[in-house]
Order: sequence, then C-alpha cells, then structure tokens
Amino acid sequence: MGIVATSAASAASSTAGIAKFSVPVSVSVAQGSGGGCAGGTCDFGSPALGLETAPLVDDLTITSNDANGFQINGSLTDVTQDVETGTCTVVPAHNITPVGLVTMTGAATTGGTGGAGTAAAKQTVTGTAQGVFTNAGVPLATGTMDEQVSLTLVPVAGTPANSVGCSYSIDFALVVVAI
Amino acid sequence: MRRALFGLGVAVAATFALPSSVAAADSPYAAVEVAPARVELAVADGRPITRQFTVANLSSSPEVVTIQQTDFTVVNNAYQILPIKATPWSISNGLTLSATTLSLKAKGQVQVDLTYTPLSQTAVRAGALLFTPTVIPAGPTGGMALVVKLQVMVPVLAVPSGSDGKLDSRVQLSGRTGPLELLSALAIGGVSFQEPGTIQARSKWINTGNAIGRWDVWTTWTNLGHDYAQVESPPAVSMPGQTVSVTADTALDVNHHGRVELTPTFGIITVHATGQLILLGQASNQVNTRDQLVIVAPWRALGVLLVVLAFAWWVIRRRTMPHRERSVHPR
Repeated sequence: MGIVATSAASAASSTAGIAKFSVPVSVSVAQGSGGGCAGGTCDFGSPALGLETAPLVDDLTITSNDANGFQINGSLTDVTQDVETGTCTVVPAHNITPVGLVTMTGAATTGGTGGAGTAAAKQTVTGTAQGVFTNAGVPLATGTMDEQVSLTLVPVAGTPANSVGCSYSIDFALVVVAI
Repeated sequence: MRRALFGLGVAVAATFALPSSVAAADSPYAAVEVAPARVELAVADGRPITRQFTVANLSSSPEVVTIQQTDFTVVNNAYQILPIKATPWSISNGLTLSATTLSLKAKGQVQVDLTYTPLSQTAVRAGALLFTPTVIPAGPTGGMALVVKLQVMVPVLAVPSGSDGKLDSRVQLSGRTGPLELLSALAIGGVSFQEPGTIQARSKWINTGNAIGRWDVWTTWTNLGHDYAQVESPPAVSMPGQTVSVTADTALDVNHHGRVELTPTFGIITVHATGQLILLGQASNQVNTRDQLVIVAPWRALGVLLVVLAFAWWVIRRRTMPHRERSVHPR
C-alpha cells in the first residue's frame, strides 16, 4: 500500500515541498517492562518438583499495521537442548529434556484498533510451533497492543539436583508472523 | 475475523497507525520492527530481484539483530520453522542478504537488501527470514528458568510470473471445499436446530493446485433470503494438497467493547461460505460450500411453554368434561 502525503506546513508556505513515503506491511515485537519475565528471563527459582509452578507473565508489546492479523507461535528452540548451564562443570546426566516441562497460555490483546483476538487454551510447549491465538481468533487489531503470555513450569519429580553454580535454563521462542 | 462493514475503516486506520505505534513501543529490552512483514517476489525471468527491508530497533538500549534464513512448512495453520534446504521448494539457495548481523543503536534503523536469484521460473519457491533481536538478558539466579527469545518471521515467496506481473500459467492456483459444519447447532437429518445466539460455522478448504496460497474465506448468514451477517476470516495459509479449517461466527467484535450478537431470536437461516486462494495478489476461481439450513428459535422456552399449555389443556378438559356416574347394576 502506498500513500503520498503533503505536509500542512508546505501547503501554508510558498516553498513547494512534498514528503513522499510508502508504508508496507509491518510488524514488531518488544519485551515489555511489565510481567514477571523482564528482559525475557522467567526465573522460577527452585520450584517444587512434580508440581506446576505459579504462572509468570511475559509481557509483550506488539505493533502491526496489517488488518489481516498476526499470530504468535510458541515453541521450544531446541528439544535436545542441554538445559543445565552456569559456572559449574555441567554434568551430562543433568541434561533433562525440556519437552513437556513448559506450558503457555495467551490472552486477548489490549490496545490497538480492531479485533483483540481469542487466546488458545493452555498448551504444553513442544518443538512444534503452536499458536498463542486460535486460528479463527488471531488479533486483527492494528496499532500498538499489549499481549501477556503466561508461562508455567512442570518440573518432573526426578529432576536431578544441580551442581553448585548451575541452573536449568530452557530456551523458548515466541515468533510473531503476519498472517 | 474481519467484518465487511469495518474493512475500510480498519484499512484507513492501519495506514496511519504505524508511526504513532512505533513511538509508543518503548522498552529497554529486546524489541524489533521489520517491514515488509511478508514478501512475494514475481519471477518473470532469470534476473536477480532485490527488495529492501527496514529493520528498526524499538528498544531504548542498543541491540544486535540477527537475520537467519529458514525453510518452513505449515501445520494446523501455523508456520513450522525448519532448517534451510529442508524442503524441496526451499528458496534458500537463491537468497542473499546484504547483512545478517545488525548492530543497532537505540531507536536506530537500517536497510537490508534481499536479493533473490531465481532458482526456478516454473515452480514456487518459499522460505522465511527470522529476525532475532538480542539485548543481553539477565541470567537466571539459580534453579530453573525460561529464556524467552522473541523473533519476527517474514515468509518469502518467489512466484513465477509473466512480464505483466500475473501468475505464470504453470502455477496452478485452485482449490475445492469440504463440508461446512455448524458447530453450535444440533443437526437432525439435513436440518440443524439452535437456540438464539452465536451461530458458529466451520468450513474446510483443500488446496488442489501446485502452489502455496492464502485462503480468503467469507461466510454468509442469510435469514429468509436476507443476508444479515458476512464475515471474512483471517487468511489461512495452505500448502499444495493441504486441508485447512476456517471458523467464523455471528458475534460482532466491537473493538474491545465486547461482542454483539447478530442472529435473530427466530430465524430460518442458511449459512454458506465462499473462498479463493490468493497468491501474488491474484485469486483462484471462487469455490462455494453447500448451504446449511439452521432453524433458530428459543426451543427450550418453547418446550416449556408447550408442556404448560398441554397441562393447562388437560386440566381444562378434565374440569369441563362431565363426570361419569358410576353405574350400579342390580344383581
């Protein structure tokens, strides 16, 4: 879509000027300052094993100018990831599989102009991308929107204790795509 | 869902929303804007095609944005990211970027050239670019943590075309429809029955061509010959041979002010959907689902009323009918 805009200033003065620009379909994503995952790190501390943690909210700011809508797909970055990291010597036996340990639940967007979308039901995160919104309920809003994705961990009961200086860290991708 | 009535307004709003929205997204953390968010390249001959991306750092911190080529497929309407050269239709061998690691100052932006040297002038090639912004995150303090990596995915398609920009004749853009189901109604025989309220319809669409496309589906609800709701669903991406489901309903979303139901209390309603595959701005022939009939009425209330009336009739009949005297026959 292209538009040509002439500024009011140029119309009012004798200087002939024209500001010409085109606006393609555009989308952006930003880690918001709110929620429990500032900077993208959702730190669950030392959760009880075998129980689901309380959710931490990753607060995102999305902008879109596409009334066709957008989707946010969540997945594990690497299902074979070595999840124990830190300053210790990593013990290979501690590398638990991250599959099935994480759940995500979206919410309808707030802000923007247009449909806020319908969040999909709570999903267990795998290596396959899953939409935060239902297929029929992707947000059609344009402008700046806030999206809150609630994340929980379900550490299995047999998760080995970390060595001193180590922690478990699971990489999780949220991919924004214009529909 | 996009409503026909609001389509123009939304389009106008979309045109002018971007500059203010960009200013509004202010975060010290990872934040990236990419334009265009979708690329379809018309391949008319073997000459390279160049497009420019604008990549902006919306963060108030400097950040590094990496651009990674990937392939993709589509599963359940969701793009599944695959390694490059994972698909037979991969575009990756033909794509080059002027830069893949961008160091952006706070609120900075750069242009990146994408050049495609055609691999095929007869078949559609597809892939995607993943834009990943990185600001050094706070590390976990111990225990267990999730590290969320934000990304923007930009699908890139190269589509054979003539010099006029229209689809090459070897690109077949065609589809057919599966059944249309009324999810909210009770079907008995060929007729469905429903209480007043939202009528939810699900239609299935099969890509029978040889190219990826986006289904543009409109669902229409007609009461006694008069259309009272028409909904355009979000596009559904479909690979050749794939079936996608599209749902739509009659509740109008009033921009964060709740939903308004358009279905009347009583109605003899037909529902149908029409769809077209879209690629390179061109559409396939339109395909239509069969009409589904649904009769809307407050069936529960009518049932209760019927029971009450039947009881009342029975009581009245009992009181108005003469009592039979018990006859005694002498022995």
